[in-house]
Amino acid sequence: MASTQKNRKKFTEGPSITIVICIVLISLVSLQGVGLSTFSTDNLYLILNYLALPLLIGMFASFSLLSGVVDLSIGSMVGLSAATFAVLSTYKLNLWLCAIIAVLVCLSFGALNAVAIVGFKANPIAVTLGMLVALRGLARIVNMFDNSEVLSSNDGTVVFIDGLNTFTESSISFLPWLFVIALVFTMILQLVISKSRYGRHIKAVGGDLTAAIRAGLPASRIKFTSLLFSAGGAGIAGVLYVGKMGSSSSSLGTGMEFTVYAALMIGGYSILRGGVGNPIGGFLGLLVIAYFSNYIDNMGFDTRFTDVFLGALLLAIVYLDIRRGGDAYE
Amino acid sequence: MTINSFKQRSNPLNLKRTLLGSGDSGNIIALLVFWIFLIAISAVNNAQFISKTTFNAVVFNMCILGILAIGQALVVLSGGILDLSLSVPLILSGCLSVIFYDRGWSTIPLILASIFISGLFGLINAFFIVVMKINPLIVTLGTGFAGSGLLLIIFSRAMVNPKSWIAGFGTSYTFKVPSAWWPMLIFTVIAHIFVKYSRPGRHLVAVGGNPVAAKVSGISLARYRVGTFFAASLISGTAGIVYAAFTPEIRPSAGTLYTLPMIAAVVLAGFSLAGGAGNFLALFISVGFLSTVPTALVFFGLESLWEPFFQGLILIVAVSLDAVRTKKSGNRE
Amino acid sequence: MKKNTKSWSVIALLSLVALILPASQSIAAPKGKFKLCVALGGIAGILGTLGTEGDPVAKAGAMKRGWDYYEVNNKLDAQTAVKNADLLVRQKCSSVIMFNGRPEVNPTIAKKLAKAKIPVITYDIGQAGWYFLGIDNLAAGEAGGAALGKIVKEKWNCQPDLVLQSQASGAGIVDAMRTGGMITGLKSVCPDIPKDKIKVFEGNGEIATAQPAARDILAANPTAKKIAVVGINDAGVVGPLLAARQLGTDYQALGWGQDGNLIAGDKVDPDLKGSVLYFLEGYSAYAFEILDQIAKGTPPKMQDKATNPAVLVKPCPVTAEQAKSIPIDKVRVAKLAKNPSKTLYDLYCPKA
Repeated sequence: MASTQKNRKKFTEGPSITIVICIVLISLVSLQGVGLSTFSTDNLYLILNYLALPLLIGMFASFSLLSGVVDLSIGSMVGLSAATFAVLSTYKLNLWLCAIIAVLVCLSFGALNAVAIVGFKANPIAVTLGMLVALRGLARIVNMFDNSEVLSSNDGTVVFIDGLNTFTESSISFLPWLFVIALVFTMILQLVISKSRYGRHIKAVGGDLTAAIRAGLPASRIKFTSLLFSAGGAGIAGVLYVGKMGSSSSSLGTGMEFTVYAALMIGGYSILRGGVGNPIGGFLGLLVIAYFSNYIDNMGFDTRFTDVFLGALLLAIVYLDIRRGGDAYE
Repeated sequence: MTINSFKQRSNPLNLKRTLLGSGDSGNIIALLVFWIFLIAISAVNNAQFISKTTFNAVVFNMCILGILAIGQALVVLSGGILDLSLSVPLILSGCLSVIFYDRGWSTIPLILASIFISGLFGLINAFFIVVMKINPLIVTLGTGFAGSGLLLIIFSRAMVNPKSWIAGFGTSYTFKVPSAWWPMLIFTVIAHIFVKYSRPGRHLVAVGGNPVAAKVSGISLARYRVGTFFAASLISGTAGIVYAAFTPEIRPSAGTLYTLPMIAAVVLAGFSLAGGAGNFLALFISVGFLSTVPTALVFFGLESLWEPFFQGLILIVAVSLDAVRTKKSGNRE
Repeated sequence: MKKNTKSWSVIALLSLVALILPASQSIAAPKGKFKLCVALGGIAGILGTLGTEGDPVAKAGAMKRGWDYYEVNNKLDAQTAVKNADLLVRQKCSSVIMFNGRPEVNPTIAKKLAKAKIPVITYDIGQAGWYFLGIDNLAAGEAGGAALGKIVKEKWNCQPDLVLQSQASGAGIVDAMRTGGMITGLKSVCPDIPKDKIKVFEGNGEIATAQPAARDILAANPTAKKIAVVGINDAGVVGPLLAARQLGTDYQALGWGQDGNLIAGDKVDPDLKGSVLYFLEGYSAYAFEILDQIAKGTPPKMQDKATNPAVLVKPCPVTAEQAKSIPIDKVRVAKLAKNPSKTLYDLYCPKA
């Protein structure tokens, strides 16, 4: 028991070192290619601005990862929430009401996921994959019902909400407000996961379900609520995206689940087993990706290189994790 | 059922189950019922649904997806969870076949070379999985990403010559059904016979269903894993030729269109993502069912926009019901 | 405990780095050097190679004038498009050429670029406050539709069994103008085509999507054998043409495309009777008219509507026969580089 604990500690440390090395390397390369302005206010703002909402989504989704369930539908939920919020707001309803409805819509689909996975005990990958496909389609359908005079397509509803846009884009120096909020949430979550009883319970349920049940933990309830969390986070992010982008594009959220989960895995989480990973690690994982992507952007290179980097880094991290005693695929 | 539980399978009951393939007939019947139901309500809504044209339209929908699903199913069956990178050999083979044709290669070498080269991609996956022992889900996620990125950088687009046999293959008929359907039919039969009646096939199922017991009885896990991922890529490469036949202008970005549907087809057919269970006849029916949905939707007057929504919903319901069914019969993982 | 300290120290290190280093330094263009930035956004299909493979004409023109050049591509992702706007601001562009396949985020992008006082030229997709350079998509649609109508009249006496309208609603107003325009043009020659014979569907401007969608529609209308196809682009039309051929030799399909992507060269679909070439890859040749004035400090009057464009590009309808002599876009761009004072329209459009 003690040795597995030590093992667990070892490989949650591992990613941090690798990430720091990556960050240092990217900094050096960027200094050489882009120059000192890599660290300027506007560049840092660029990096953190891009990373703010994925971080929020990732932190909410980390609940379900920790409890041993991977929710692949978060990207589609973001798109659906954005579509719902945008379309409703074209009917001149109270914006807070629109936002709440959008989040509630996501929560209901999250509940559907949970019923299938926890209630029917269906495979989480299959269920959330189905949800991913279904909600992406639903978002496009919702986008058709907008009430605006602007000629929109079902590929996006143009909805420019000045107040919300200003809020989502505002910052103090290089720190966007959204990022600050997301980071504060990350740190709170870090404390909850590592220090509180709830955190220990979630990790227990994700790490060893049978033992957790035997110990009397409300495993089903924990898993259920974790799926609600990931759905809720996606819902909130969707609303904020509408503020940022001035529209609900149907391309919103496509592929986001892969970037977020790749980042979380780079940071020490696993989509194959629960109970491992910590929020700060997840943040660092996202930071590395955003940082590299920023280098590519500044140099004007093809953005596909970011995908290649992401794939390679992911493999490297997971491999190192195995070397440190993680679960090898036999 | 979580991924965790596939580590817990070292009890003898599972070995018996995988060898006897229980639950298969239940699956096939359930799927057939679904399919017939769909056809029935479509026909009631519009009698013209039952026609040769509809049949052909559905068959064409099945051609590429069906072949890809077989490759994916082999991976799932062998315990490889999922291969998320199969769109890469699909597009690679399609583009290569066009390039070789333009260079004047004759038919057989062209086909063999395109398929073989795209099969090599599967060996890259196999390396990470067998040598570096990284989980296939993560490996193929990474290689899928990287591979698509590389494809976009290497190929901008490939145009199929409308006078070529490749284009002709896409529109011709053999024995009264579309020619492009035959690869899928042949692969289905071969896969089914292989898995059910041949020794290596049964060993493959054992590798997926109970790797510990398989290893103990002398089966080389590594060899079967390498073979499976190589085969999946080869099969995907074959689908690539059909894809070239259907798509006069191949764009590397379009490959990911099939990733989710092929996984849906495999899951819907009752293949357990933990490995060791699944039937290729059921897969054929599931592909058929999923390929009928879009056509049926059009007959109902719904835009193709509703397609993904229904497909996703069907998958969720089917998987949930299937979980209840396997739980009830005491075969819970 | 160890892992937490490590993580916290990383954060502390990063914050330190961010605060200590000279904060306001940004990429500064040497005083007086004009920087041309091009923001593209398309995954193939709808916006042609200009949307996907860069803008060699703009780059060449910038290099010739001794300007700096920067290019981004949003790969048809709205979130990336907005991020790219931030990048453009950071790059301190002197002017931006925008060809954004996600027009729904254009208002947000406009707000950012306006705040940074960067003038924008937009290709084909209108936005208030941006110089409009482009085709009259509606006229291009109508021209193509009328050309198809002539053939439909000749062959079928204006009585097709079905007219397929292959849309890509993601392209917003461009889609409405092009595909809607084609129907208008078709009806100007064959006014008696009944509304229920026109089937609109989502082809997404791609063969892989348009083809199965069209196949299913043809299956739902099994008695229809004479099929006319219009669409937002060549790919959106070729998909349905191929679908008709797949369903049987008793089908006769005729299509007229838009954007000319699949009409040039020697691998043209036999049922694609013609297309409308925009010579998108040569748009930037026109852009320099405006850019040169901006660079001189005397920006021209703002003309931001498709109906009152800053620069109007002439569409070039071509039959498949005429297009046989027209090379593919890469070759055309190379020739344009050798003849910088001309436009692709001058060089290649067959004088009818």
